[in-house]
Formats: sequence, structure tokens, C-alpha cells
Amino acid sequence: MMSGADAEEVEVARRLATAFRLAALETADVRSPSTGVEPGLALAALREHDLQEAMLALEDLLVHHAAPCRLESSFAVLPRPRASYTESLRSLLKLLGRRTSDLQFRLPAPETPPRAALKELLAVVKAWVQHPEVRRAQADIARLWEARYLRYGGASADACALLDEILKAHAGANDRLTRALRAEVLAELVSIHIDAGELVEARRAVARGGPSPKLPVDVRGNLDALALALGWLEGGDQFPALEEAFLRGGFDVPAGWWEIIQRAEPQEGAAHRVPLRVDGAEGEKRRLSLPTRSELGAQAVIFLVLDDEGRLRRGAVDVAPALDHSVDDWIRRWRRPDGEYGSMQQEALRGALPVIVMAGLPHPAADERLARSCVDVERGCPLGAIALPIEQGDEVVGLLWMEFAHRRLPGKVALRSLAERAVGHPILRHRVGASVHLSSADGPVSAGEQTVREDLKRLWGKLVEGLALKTAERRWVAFQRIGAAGDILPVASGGAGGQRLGDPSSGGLWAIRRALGAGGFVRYEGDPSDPSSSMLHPGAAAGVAIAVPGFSGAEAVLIIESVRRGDSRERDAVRWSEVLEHHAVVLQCAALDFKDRVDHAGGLVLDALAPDERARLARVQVLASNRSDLIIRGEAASGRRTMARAIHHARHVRSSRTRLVQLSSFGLEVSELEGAFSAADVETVVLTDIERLDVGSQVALTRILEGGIHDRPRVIATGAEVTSEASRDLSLAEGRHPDLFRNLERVEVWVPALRSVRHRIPLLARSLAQRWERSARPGEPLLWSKEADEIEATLWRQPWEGNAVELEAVLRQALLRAAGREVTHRHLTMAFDDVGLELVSRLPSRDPDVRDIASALWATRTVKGRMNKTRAAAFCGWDPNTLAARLRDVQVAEMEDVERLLDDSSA
Amino acid sequence: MRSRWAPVPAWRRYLRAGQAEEVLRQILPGDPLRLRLLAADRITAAARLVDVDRVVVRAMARISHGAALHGPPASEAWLIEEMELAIEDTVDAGIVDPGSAGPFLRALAPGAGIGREALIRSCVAFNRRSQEERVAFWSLMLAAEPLDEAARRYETSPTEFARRSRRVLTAIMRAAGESGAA
Repeated sequence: MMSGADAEEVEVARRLATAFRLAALETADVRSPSTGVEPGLALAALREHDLQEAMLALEDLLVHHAAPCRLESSFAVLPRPRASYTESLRSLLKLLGRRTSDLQFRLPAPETPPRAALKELLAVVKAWVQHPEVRRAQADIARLWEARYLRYGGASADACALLDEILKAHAGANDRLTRALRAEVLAELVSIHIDAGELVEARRAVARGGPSPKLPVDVRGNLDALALALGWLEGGDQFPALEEAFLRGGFDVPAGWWEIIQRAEPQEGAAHRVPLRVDGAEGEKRRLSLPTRSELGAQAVIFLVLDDEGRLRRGAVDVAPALDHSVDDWIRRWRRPDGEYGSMQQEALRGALPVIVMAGLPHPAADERLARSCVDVERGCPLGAIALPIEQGDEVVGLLWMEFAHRRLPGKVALRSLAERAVGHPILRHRVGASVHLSSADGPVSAGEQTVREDLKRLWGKLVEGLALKTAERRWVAFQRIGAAGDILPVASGGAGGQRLGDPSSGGLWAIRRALGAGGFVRYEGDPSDPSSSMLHPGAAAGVAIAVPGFSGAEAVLIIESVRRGDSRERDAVRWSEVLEHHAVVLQCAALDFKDRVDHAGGLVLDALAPDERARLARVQVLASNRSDLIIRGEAASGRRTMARAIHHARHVRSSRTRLVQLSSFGLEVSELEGAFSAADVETVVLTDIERLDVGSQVALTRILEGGIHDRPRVIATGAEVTSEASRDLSLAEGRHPDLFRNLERVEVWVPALRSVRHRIPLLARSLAQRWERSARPGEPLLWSKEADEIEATLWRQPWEGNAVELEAVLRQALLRAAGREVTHRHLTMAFDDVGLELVSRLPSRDPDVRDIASALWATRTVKGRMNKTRAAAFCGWDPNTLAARLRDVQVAEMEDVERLLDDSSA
Repeated sequence: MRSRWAPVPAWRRYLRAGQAEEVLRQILPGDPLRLRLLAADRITAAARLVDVDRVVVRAMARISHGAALHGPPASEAWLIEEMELAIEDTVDAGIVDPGSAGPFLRALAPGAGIGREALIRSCVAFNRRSQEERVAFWSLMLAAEPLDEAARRYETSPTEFARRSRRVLTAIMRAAGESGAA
């Protein structure tokens, strides 16, 4: 065994072997039991052991408290506790009981938050290691925990400095405990660098640990396991299975590595993938900048926006110079997001989930997908790529594409933050308010709002009935622009095919967006081979999305999906589309009515089919399309405020200002006025009876209006009717600020008195009565049906000098008289007496107002839209012959003549 | 290696005392758990060169502590585990502080004609080698087993077995010669 050794060496070896043999013999000599163990020595050993065990129990508690403090997606490695929290605590308390003089400390209360508890325990440990009998290694374990605490609190640089200090203190030591401590400290250092994306620094830290890591089966400790993970992140060829290695070393698998496993194994990962939805209410707080390449450690960051036609267009681009020339081609290639099956972009947009692919994963399809999707495959495939859909509400509105030359991709937390930042980006700001939601209510809805929703639902039900839709295998869902910020919400649905089709999902939102953007209708079919459904209902095979036009763009979208393939024929779609287009104005009115009733407990009553009402609606929309200040004039209670609110509701949301404030000029303080204009979220200030504004407030308002319209809320004032220049001059003489009125009167709108638009009265009366009854009694109000003609005729022919207020007063009295029963003409007559109004039983038949004749004919027209002269004559209180004579006088023969007269009257 | 160790019958009653100090006072006189014999068995099986008395003291402390915290163990295997941990603790303590090797090894040095410090360093160097290497050295050099027989017992080739032993010898020779004492 010692060939080549000199005699002296052989002699040393012989002596050593002799000494060792003697030692072995002595060890094995058990003839006399060990009675030489002194009790004092044994007690000292027990005391030393107690101290070590107490430290280990404390460390267990630290691990339990530290685990929830670790950041998501972090590579931070923590030892696994040796026992449950309760058991560790029990052990420690037993030690406390025995060694009260040594273990004087206070443990954190059970309800203490993890980070606070960690801090308290750390203080305990730091005090504990001051004990004279505690070993130096244990003192350094306390410093390691301090470094962990600093790191979990975000102070990574301080943590690194402390870890370096620990390493320096142990330079040269090579015993087992020091080696274990050094491995743990280095692992902490490596994981900090990996978390920060500093892969080169992490590699250097690994090198400080000595020999390079071996194959997973031979992995020793978490440092080697982390080193192998690092190798993979840097672009290593082989995917290492490290879970066992971490666990065998007594450590938890780091969350960052779990994420990579999930990305490597999509089936496993699917359970953990959650949409990165962003709450629109947080928009104000978000940073508006997009992430840069250097920030992410990426080689390409491309922000694509889904435009109103459902196509992806260039938003912002930050790519390596070598990829610059390929970006435009790449964007052209992905312009149609539903075009290419199996691509990452398509999957992200359809599934509304981030798609993360890394090269070299165990399943071969990953490399192929990456190659198909990346910017320039000829220049080399990236090692990792992320397609991150950007969502507003339930709708995907953009895509953030990122390519990486390594596999250290941003984790869940970083992706969530990226999505939030992207939503707040100016490129997407114009889309705020245009998001599509799959459910209409996020929480409990008030009874009043429930009624409003029911009314809208009923309206849609009637409209869909008019489509003559066979619904045995179909389901329809109506989406309308009624959300607070102009969002598209589902308002009604129906169809017996619902059970087979399943609940609506985000898969079909692209069709709604397409229909909203392009108008008309979109026919589409599901792809049975594609697991991510592109239908609104997962079980649907065919569908049509029909846009209902509004003043500017689409007002609503009706989705009709069917279980049967081919059940979206073009001729059907054309027919449905035409019917809905015909009723578009009804839906626009319904939307305005909905918003006013929900937000302001008001209501907009418009006969959407009447020509003058249509013109009025068009005027509202024109006024809503710009932000100029204006004044609405008319008699008191003629609907000036309602019109002001309608203008506010009809606007197309383009800013974060959404609120409407109504102020009465009477007694208005300057501070109140200025307060309304200084609020950041106020879009419209409705100032009623502006003539009553005092001089100070007029001056303040004039100063406010002189500011740019885009930096302040818009003013919609209401004022009394000014009939002539003379009265205007008189007004000026009464102390009105000329500049203020000159500014406001640049846009002047006139609202007719109720008696000038009598055909509105039956609808308005019914609406006012319903509102009153609903507030007074639960359930569906019982108004008038048996004597409807007589009641409506009576209401129609009154002059209503007090406009809607007077009408409402009479109706309330009638309803009180009816006391929950059906209102009769007798109740109405008594109501007039109660209010002190004299009933007008007939209009003057000599030289009548032509608008009244047209109005009577319009209000009494048949279901098919024909004139009912007998009924119209009854409305006027005339006999039919009188009406016939008057019709000849004014040359009205057909319904078209009536429409023309009404249209002229509105002008 | 077949174990000769077995504690006295009803050995658990010695571990029911309550506080660790009381348990220690129960297991110390007369060594009813036969820990000295167990230490000899496990040290030989692990091929370690340590002060057996120190191992026994540490084992007693561990066992007293464990029994006080968790009650008497279910089986004897726990005692064996604790003994093995006590051996490793003693080895580690010896590596960290060679001066803690104890009077046992110091006493051997004059008899073998070798310096005390050199012997202790050699022991530390020996204990640092892998289990396979230590076992090979122990079998060939200390137990004087025939090479072929020992190699067969440990299911390796005689050449490899001899090489392992040679590596240990080189290491302990180097450790002994570091101060020039021989």
C-alpha cells in the first residue's frame, strides 16, 4: 500500500495505524459499563443541547412566519420546518419552562401579521444568540435570518451586504456546519440575484460555493439545486427536475421554480393560471409608462392595441436594433388575431390569459410555437416569450408581446403589474369606458335599479320577439352601452337553448367588439378542434353578432348563438339586422332613460318613433358630441333639466370625468360653484334657472367659463324663455353679466311647452304615474286600462300651463283617490278639482293649432300606424266630421302629412 | 455488522421521569440503556475515531431532552438514531475544535509513539473522509481483514477497496506531518 514511500514515512504510517487500532479497540471494549461519566459533565451536555434545540425551535417558528412574507414568483429558498407550528411552539414553551433563566423572551401573539411576527421573532433570536454558551454558527444563523427579513421587506441591497459579511467571517473554515451555513448564505445571495434578473451576478455567487453542481441525482443542498435552475434560466439545454433535489436538501421548492414547472407542464399549470384582470376604478393611480426592454431584461417589447375593427395595430415598440426592421412585418402578420390557430397571440387574445412559452421544454410543441410566434425566427428563436393580454372589464383590448434571450421571465406579480400599467397607457385611454362586461352587476342592486333593468329587459324581449327567432336551440344575449363609463353590459337574454350552450364566457367577446367597431353583423362558427372556444357560449357551434347603430358607432350588440352548426345563415342575419336597425332609436332612448333613472332617479320619456322626438334626440346627440357650454331655454317644468341630463348621458366618454352635478342658481354660493368646477371627476355642471344667479356668482362663473373647455367641466344652464330682443335688453338692464350670457347663448336650445307637444302627454303621464306608484306601493302599478282612452284624451287636451309639474300633481291626486285600484275617469275629474284646475272638455274647433291636430292624430294612430280619426276627434273633444273638415283645411290626408307637420313643428 | 446491543428489559420506564434532568439522573447510574455498548457498535459501524465517552455523554443529553419533550419512544430504533446523531455531533465538534478530542486520544499517543497533536489532526483528517473510505481503512488497517474478503463484504473490487484505504492513509499521513511531528 505504501510502495515508493521512504522508511520514515512507513514508520509514521505504522505508528498511526497502531494508535488508530488502539483507539478502535478501546472503543469496542465494553467489558465494564461506562461509569466514568460524571453527572456534572452530563448536565453540562444537556444544557448545551437544550440551547441548540431552543435555537432550532425558534428557527422553525421563523420559517413558519417567513413563508407568507416571501414575494410571489421569488426564488427565495427557505428551510422546511422540522415540525408544525404548534409542535414547534410547544417544544419551545417546554424549554422555556425548564430554562426560564436562559430563555427570557416574549413570543409574538398568534394574531400578529406575519411580517411583524417575523420582526419580533428576529429580535428574540438576536437577543438569544448573545447567550455566552451559544455557538458562533448560531449567531450567524441569526444574521442570515436578518438578511432574509431585509430582503422580504424589499431591502435586497442591505441583505446582500449582510450576507457578504457572514461569508467573510467564515472564510477559510471548512467544517460541516460552516459548509452548510455557507451553502445556505450563498443560496440566499444567488436567489436574490435571480429575482433581480441579475443572472451573471447569480452565476458569480454560485462560483463562490466551490465545485460546480452535479447532476440532479447528486445534488447536494439548495445551492446546487439553485445553480442548476440558474443554468436552465441562462439557456441550458436540459430541463432539470429539481423538485426532489430541493426537498431532499430540506428546503421548499422556490415559488419561482414552481412557476417554471407550471409553464413547462401546461396541464399542471392550467389550474394556476388566472386572468390578469385590472379593475377600472384604479385607473387614476396607475403609471402610464410601458415597460422597457432593459427593465424587463427582454430583447423585444411590443404593445399592440386591438382597434375598433377588432384588428391588432401598432401601439409602442421597444426592440433590439437587430429586430427593428422585422417588427412591421410581424405586426402585419398578426393584424387579424383570429387568423392563425395555435399561435401564442391567438391563444392569449381568445383565452384572455397570459401565454408563456420557453424553448427547450420537455414537450416539443413549445419550440415550434415559439418559432411561429416570434418576431424574427431567422435571427434566432428567443428562449422565452410572453403574450400578455390587456383587459378592460371582461374584454381584451390589447396585447403586450415580450421576447427574451434567457428563460428568467417575469413572474405572476410582475405580469400583473405590467398589465395594470398597460391599461393606464395613453394609447388605451380612449378605450376607457368602452369595455365589455359579461355580467351586469357586481353587487346587490337597489329595488329602483332592478325595476329599470327589468324595463330594459322587457323592451329587449319585445324587440327580439319582432325578429321571429326560433329559440329552441338558440340563446340570445343583448349587450348595451349603459355602463357608468359607457361600458357595454348584458341587459337581457333568452332562448331555450341556454342549458345546452352553457354560461356566457369571455371567448366570444371578440365578436361583440368586432360588431361594435365595424357595425352591421358578424357571422361566426366555433372550431371544434380548438379547446379555447371563440363563442360566447362554450357549447355553441354557430353565432351572429348584430350591431344596433347609435348616433356615433354602435349602441348595442345582440348575440344569437346556436347549438347547431350552420345556424347563422346570412339571410337571417340580414333580416334581424334590418329589424334591429329600425328600432335603433328606441334603444338609444332606452339607454338614456336607463342612465337617468339609475344615476339621477329621473327618466327620459321620449316617443322614439315620433318625428319631432327623433329630431329632439338627434339634437341631444349632436350637443353631446362636443363639449361646448350651452343654455336650454323653455317654460318651467317643460323638461329643460331632463334634456341637460340626457345630453350628459349621451356623450361619448373620452376622459376620466364622468360625474354630473346639478346646481340650483337660487341662493348659490360662490364657493359651492367653484367647488363643483374644481372636482376632477365632474364632466357636466347643470345650472338651473341661471337668471336667479347673484352677481358674485355670475362673475365667478364668467371667470370659470373663460378657462379652456377641456380643462374644466362643461356647463349646461337652464333659463326662462326669452321671446324677443326687447325682453333680452330688459334682462341686461336687470344686472346680468353680459359676458356670461353671451358665452352661454352661443348655443341655445329651446324646449317646447307640454301643450305644444301634446302627443307626449299619454306616455309622460303613464311614466310619471308609474314612478309615483312604485315609490308608494310595491309590485307592478295598476294605472288605467279600462278607461284608458277617456283618461288619456282628457289628459291630452288640457293646456298644462304648469307643464310636467302640473300634470304630475293631477296624476298623484288621481292615484291617491284610486288608492291602489285602477284609476278611473271619475278619479281624474276629482283630482282636477283637488288641484284647483278647471277641466277643458274640448279644444276650440275654430282656427285650431295645426300642431294639435297633428298631435292628436299621432297619439291615436293604430298599431299598424294608420290614422284613427274617430279617436283623434275624441281627443280633441270634437265630433269626427269637425275633425274631417279641419283636416281638409290644413291639407292632411295621410300619416306622412302628420309626420311632416310634427317634424316642422320641432324645427 | 451484527449488533450486540440491547437495552435492559422495561427500559422505557427510565425515560418516564418528566424533566430532562430527572431523566438524565435515571439513565446515568449503571447505564441501564446500555448506551456504552450501543456507542461502541455504532462508532465501529460508522468507522469513526472519536472519544467514546464523549459520545455517550452527548447521547445521554439528547435522549434525556427528547424523552422529556416527547415522552418515552415507541421503539429502540429511536435510541439508535439519537446515538448516531450524537456521534456526528462529536465528530463535528472535533473538526471545529480539535482540542475537544478528549483525554482518550491524547492518552493513546505516547503508547503509539506519536505526538498528541499529530494524532488528533490525523483523527480529524480520518473523520473527514467519506464513509466508504473510512470503512475500507478500518477493515484493512484496524480490523486487519483480508482484502478479498473485505472487498466482497462491501460489494466492491479489491483494487477499489485498497485505493480507498490508500486515500485515507495519505490524508492522515499528510495531517500528521503538517507540524513535522512524527
